Amino acid sequence: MSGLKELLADSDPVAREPGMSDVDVRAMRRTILVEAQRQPAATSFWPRPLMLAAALAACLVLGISIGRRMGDHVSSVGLPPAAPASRDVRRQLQITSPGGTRIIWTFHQELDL
Amino acid sequence: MRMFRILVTAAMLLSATFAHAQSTQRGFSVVLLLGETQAAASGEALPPAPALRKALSDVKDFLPYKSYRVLDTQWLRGGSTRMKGLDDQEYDVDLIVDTIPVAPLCTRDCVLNVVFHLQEVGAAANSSEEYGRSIQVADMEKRRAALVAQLPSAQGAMVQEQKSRIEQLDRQIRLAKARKLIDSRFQMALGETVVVGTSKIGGGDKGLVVLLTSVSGGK
Repeated sequence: MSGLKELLADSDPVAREPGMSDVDVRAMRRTILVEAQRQPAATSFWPRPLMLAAALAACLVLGISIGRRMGDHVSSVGLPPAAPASRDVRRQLQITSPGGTRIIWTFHQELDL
Repeated sequence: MRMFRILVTAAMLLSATFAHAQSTQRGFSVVLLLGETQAAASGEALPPAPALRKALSDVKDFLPYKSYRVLDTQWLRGGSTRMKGLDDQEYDVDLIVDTIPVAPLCTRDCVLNVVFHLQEVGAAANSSEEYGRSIQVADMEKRRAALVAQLPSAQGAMVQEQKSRIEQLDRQIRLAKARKLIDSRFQMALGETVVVGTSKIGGGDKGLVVLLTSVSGGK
């Protein structure tokens, strides 16, 4: 095994190549430094949890708001649905008076007051 | 983690404050009026509040009634109440309100989502019940007509008995005919008065008019 290893090392052309010139080394270093400056700075450790917490808090506020709205609607759903009577026909009209007062009027086909 | 806890606490406080602001800063004045085409105009019975008089004055031209009578007045923060009507008739009123959450914590210039129901007491819960009741009403009306037809031929104590039976049938018919009169959804601003009403198609000679005013800084 050692004979094979030695044979491979002896026949490796890289071992016989001259080293890089100082110019090449500097050029390579310069390239690496320039590329390193182009990359954005590594994100620090703390902003990620803060952003996550802010997103969660926003979701919580949104959820509470929606929940409150849904809660009220659920109570309205709990009421019996407004179905027209079998003999009654309802029509609704909304108008605004010149003075700005709104009128929401329901007409019934049959209504005795 | 600490920052997260602070933010969650802040969100909960914000929500609680919002809910508290909603519950304490509004109420509704509900004035039930009867509009009539026949009776002479009488300003005495109208509500004294200037905003209500202005609202009524605004809409008078749109309504066919010549006079208005106050039947009942109530203050509501939401929920249900019962209001007195004409001739011992009573109405169940439901008011469901929420603030449109465009501007949380608003105390002025808020817009409210309002669902307003008004129904005669004992109104059927659904259309199938209404249908069943309509059949019962038809039957009771036939019996009433028969009693009325027999009334001229009745004598002595029979007259009074038949009259009381007719009155009883009238009450039963009225209860069976109880119906939902108003089911309206609309938006209104704090301080605004909206006129909600109902009548027979073509106007009829009477109509129910509700002056609904949202008031901030509830009692």
